[in-house]
Formats: sequence, structure tokens, C-alpha cells
Amino acid sequence: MPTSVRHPVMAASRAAGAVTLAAALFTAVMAPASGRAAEVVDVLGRHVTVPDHVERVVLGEGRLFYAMAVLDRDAPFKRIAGWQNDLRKLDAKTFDGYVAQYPEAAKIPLIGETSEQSVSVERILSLKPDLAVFSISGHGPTEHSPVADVLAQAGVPVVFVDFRVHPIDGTRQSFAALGKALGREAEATAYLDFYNRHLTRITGAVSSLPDTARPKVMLELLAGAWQSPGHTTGSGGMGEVIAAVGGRNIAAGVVPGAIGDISVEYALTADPDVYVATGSRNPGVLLGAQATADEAAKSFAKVLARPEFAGLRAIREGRAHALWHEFYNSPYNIVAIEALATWIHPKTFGDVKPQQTLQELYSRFLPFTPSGTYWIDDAPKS
Amino acid sequence: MDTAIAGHRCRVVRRVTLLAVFTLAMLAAGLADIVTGPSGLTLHDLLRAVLAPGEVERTTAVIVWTVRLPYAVMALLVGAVLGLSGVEMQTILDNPLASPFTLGLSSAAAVGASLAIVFHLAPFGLPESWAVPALAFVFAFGSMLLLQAMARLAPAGRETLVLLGIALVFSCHALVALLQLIAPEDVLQQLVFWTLGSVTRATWEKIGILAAILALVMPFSMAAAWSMTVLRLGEDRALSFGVDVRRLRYASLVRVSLISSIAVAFVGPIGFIGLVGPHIARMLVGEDQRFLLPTSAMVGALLLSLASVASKAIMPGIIVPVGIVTALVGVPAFVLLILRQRR
Repeated sequence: MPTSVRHPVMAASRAAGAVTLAAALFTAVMAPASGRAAEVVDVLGRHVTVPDHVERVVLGEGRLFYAMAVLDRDAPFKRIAGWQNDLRKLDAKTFDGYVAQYPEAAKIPLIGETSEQSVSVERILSLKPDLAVFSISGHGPTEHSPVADVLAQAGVPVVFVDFRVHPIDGTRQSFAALGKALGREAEATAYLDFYNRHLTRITGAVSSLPDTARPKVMLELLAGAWQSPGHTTGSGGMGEVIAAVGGRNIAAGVVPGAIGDISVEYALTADPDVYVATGSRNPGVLLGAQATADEAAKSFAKVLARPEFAGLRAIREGRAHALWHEFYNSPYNIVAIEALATWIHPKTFGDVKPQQTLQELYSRFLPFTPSGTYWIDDAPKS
Repeated sequence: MDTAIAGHRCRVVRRVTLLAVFTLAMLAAGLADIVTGPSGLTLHDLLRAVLAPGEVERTTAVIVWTVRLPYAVMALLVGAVLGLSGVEMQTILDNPLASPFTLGLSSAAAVGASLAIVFHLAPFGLPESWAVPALAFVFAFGSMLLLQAMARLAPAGRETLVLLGIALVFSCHALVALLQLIAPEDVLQQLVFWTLGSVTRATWEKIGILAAILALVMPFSMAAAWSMTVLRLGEDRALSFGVDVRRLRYASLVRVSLISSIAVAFVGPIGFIGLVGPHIARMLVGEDQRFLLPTSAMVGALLLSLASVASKAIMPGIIVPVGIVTALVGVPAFVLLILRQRR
């Protein structure tokens, strides 16, 4: 090890130059392949060229399968070459139901666990995907992640979708993009027709309501399961849904980012007209696939008995309801939209039947039989 | 007299041998890092992709040239930077618990990165993949300059520096937490991801920059080795030898800030190596900084490279962030060395 180098700057710049040259050479030999077919515009407004017959799809979040199941109804797992493990970890009961019906679902290779940093880009490349579908936010690789950049270099088209940042518009744009990318335009259009029909019935009736006619809503995410009471969302995500169905989210304008905890004191002073808890697992509200109505009701009663909010007028007067948490990141959110609408404006939407919509969703668009409890209409009055 | 010279020679030979062994171990770890991965490429494929990227399948070429090689080289480089910075920090602060991040360098970098991520800042019109490291670097290096300036106002030496550093760490953590609170949904994950540290952000340009800066700084560190060795004997002794301790400390801090800031900017904060690498090196070659500095850099490179291999091996097909693995890989070696020393 010499104690001094005569021209460290020159040596260093030569090394850097060599490295840059190698990179440039590499880029030059990696000319893009030809024979492209469809051009898809994704939710980020990117124009992505997708090959004609996509046979191998990698899902950046396992829960993006909720959308795939609608588009590939006849063989929902056939084209899935790899996915992340969040579906199994965060919605285990649904996953078990899938595996019971389609054992091959358990054998789909994993590209990562439940977080972006666990995703191995080399693993994705080795699965030789024709297409990668990523969510613009959440538990998988996002727009500027190194994963997306490397895939772009390898010529693997990446389509970004969104079911959580803007649940309503995101669902519409994502389905249009996925339908085109997967050669399933007819299925995508059919689903969007169903979605829009149910949606406009509600938004049309409440869009011109003045603020005073919009009930105040408190949405507590993962109530009882989250480490502190008052975990909620501001104006994005489910907050957007509350506004769309004619409610006023008490946390809008208070929670600046995606999620945050409002103080108990603020919630009590805001005095919401309607209280909604989301839940999926213990110790919160047990909802989702395989959850029985009885289990759900018992767990909800426990959540409502928490001393912080037990005194809320909405809870005392029985205007407390519960919703399956995963609706926040799913194209099936139309069911949640209807349920919320009937709770927030019971007189206006007396004829809206979310249970029928759920049945229609399963019978027309999904290859699975519904099981479980996805919301609770009436809480026991205290 | 003769025996003394012979003893010294023997020690030097032993150290040179150790350096050679470490060089080989480092290369071996780097190679292991290049040949391991979930896609199960054969050695033959690998060699062909390295020698003639145009003749192999595009996916294979990307795996080798965009994933494995840059990650492996980046792990070695960042490890070396952390090992070298750590040993310099421990010497100038005379504190065995010091690391490159003791004075808040990585916390300040996290503030810069978070600002860039949350507000989509693009200074100098940089694309996002460069804006985040650029701001992380500006904040990290800027925080060190600020610290220096404040320490100059205060009379005492290293204690003041450490206390001000701690104040900086807490302020930066609070700022990052605040940014996470106001972050919209689509960037929240990126913030968390950044603070975990990962070599998966490596690109050849970044490797070129880091290698160039390390090659620039290392000779200056080596030139200061003798003064640093004297400083280990105590500040008073160093002063009596005619060493300008204040200047030595200042120059060393500038070097450490520069290389660590760039490393943190490119891969995020990776802990443990900068703290433990120097201790492992010290147990192997003692306090003579002429040997300690390069050995510590090599130990760091070896540790991070092994951690990078392990991060792929623990759960095949899934990456366990390297920042988590460094401790898992390093602790056993560390404990073994301590137990051997005690005997």
C-alpha cells in the first residue's frame, strides 16, 4: 500500500472513465427489441408499449391480483409468473380461499415479501415476464424505484396502476390500461360499466349537496388493531370515497399526508354524525373472507367499547358501522362505496343494496364463491 | 538491538501478509456476490455476459451488468468507505464507539433525501434518481461544515463536537419524522425504504463517482497516518511531537464527511460496519495507522460484500435489506475476535 499516489486525480478519473465507457458500451449493445403491439397509457400518463401476447405477468403487489381475477376470470392464475407476498400476509383468509379452489396459487414464485425493499429485481428478470404491473404506492416497487429502472433497461414493460391513492379514478384508469395490456378490453369494459353504473347512481345524487347537508364522518382505520386510537386518512384514499358519497371526513384538512392519527380530543370535539371502523384482523374488527357475522359483530362490539370513543354521539346513537379494511386498495371498492353511501345518507339511498352488488360482482366477474363478512351495517346501540 | 529490528521486521511481514490475505478475501467475497443470485445463472453464462454482453440474451446481460456487477462493486466500495471513515472518526474523537454517523451525518442525509422525495425537488434540473442523492449529499456535507463552524466557536475539542453532533442527530430525526407525517401515500414507502440502506441503488455512474472520490481521499488519509498514530498516544503527547492536533482533526473530519456523505447519498445509511470494522482491523494489525487505515477499509469492504451475499441467501428470491444483514454477518466474527483477545 503506497503512502502517496503521484496523481490521485488522474488515476481516479481514468477509473471513472473506464467505468463510464463500459456502461456506455453495455447500453449500446442493449438495443430495444422490435415487434411491439399495443400502446397503453398507465395511471402516471406514461405511454407503455406492451407485446402482443402477454403470457407472463409479474405483480408488484400480490393484491393487484384482485384486478387480474376479473380480467382473467377463466384461468385467474395462469398468467401470473410471480408476485409479492402481501396477499398471503395481509389478506390470508382470501388467499386460503384461492388456494382451496386453485392449488397452483400456492406455488406462484415470490419476488419479495410485503415491502418494496424485499423485492429482488434479479428474481423478477429470471421469471422472464412479458409485463410487470406495479402500484404507484404501497408495499411494492414504485415509479422511481431501482426495480422499475432496471426492468426498463431489460425491456420489460412496466404498467403502473392505482387502487389506493385515488381509489375511484385509479380503478377506472387502471382497468382501462390493464384491459388493453392483457388483451382483455371486453372484460375491462364490462367491469367498468358495472362499476360506473353503481357509482353514478350515488355520486349523481350527492354531488351538488352543500356542506351543511353532508354528514360528518369519522373513519377509523384498523380500529383496535392499530397501536393508537384515531388512526385515519385525510383527503386521499378512503377520504376521497367519503367525499364522493356525500360525507365530510372530519380528518380532511387535519391529517396532511396519507395517513395520520387524529387526537381523541379532536375526534370528540368534531362530534361526527357517522362513525366507521375498518378492520380485518384481531384485535380489531374481524372482517373479510371466512369471517362469520357472529365473529364480526363480537369483535366490533369490543372495538366500540374502547373508552376513548365509546362516548361519541355517533356510537351512542347507533350510527357506527364497520368495513373490511382491504377495500381501501381494491377494485371491489364499489361495494364499500355503496355501503358507506347507505350509512351516510340512509334516506337518499334506501334502495341501494350493497349485498346485491357483492353478489353481482362475484356471479358476473369473479371465479370464486363469496364467503365471509365484509361490512357491518348495524352496531348494537349502547 | 538486532532482536528488536528482527521483531519489527517480523511484525511488518505479518501485517503485509495480512493485507495480502485480506485483498484475496475481498476479491473472493466480491466474486461470490457476483455469482450468487436467484436467477441461477451458470458461471459460463456469467463469463459470456461479462466478456460479450451483445451475444447473450438481453435479460442475462441486464442481470449481470445492471444488477450483479454494480451491486457487488458498490458493496465493496461503500464497505471500504465506511471502514476507513470509521477508523478515522474513532481516532480523532478518541472514542471506541464512534462511527462515520456519530455526528449526525446519515441523519442529515436522510433529511435531504426525504425533502427531495416528499417535495419532488429537482435541484439543477436533475432527474429524480440523482436529485435524491444530490440533496442527501448537500445536507450531509453541509451539516458537517455547520458542525465544524460551531465547534470552532466553542473552546474545547472533541467533547463539544460529539455533543453538537448528538444535538444534530436528534434534530434531523425529528425533521424526518415530520416529513413522514406529511408525506402523501405514494411516497411514504419510498421514505422508509431510503432510511433502510441498500446497494440496489447502485449504477455505474455512482460507482465511478464514489471510486474517484475514495481514490482522491485515501492518499491524504495515508499521508496523515503517522500523526494519527501519535494522536492515539494522547493529545498531549501528540502536541509534544509537534502535531497540530486541531488541524489534523479538522482535515480528517473533512475527509470523512466527504466520502461518507457520498456513500450515504448513494446507498442510504448502512450501520454497524463503520463502528465494528475498525475494531476488527485493530485486533488484527494493532494501532499503527499505516496498516490500520487500509486494513479497516478492507475489513469494511469484506463485511459489506459478505452481507450482500447473505442478503440474497437468507430467503432465496427475496432481498433482506443489507443494512439489516451487516450486523448479522459481522457480529459473529466480532465476538470470536473479542473472545480470542481475552484469552
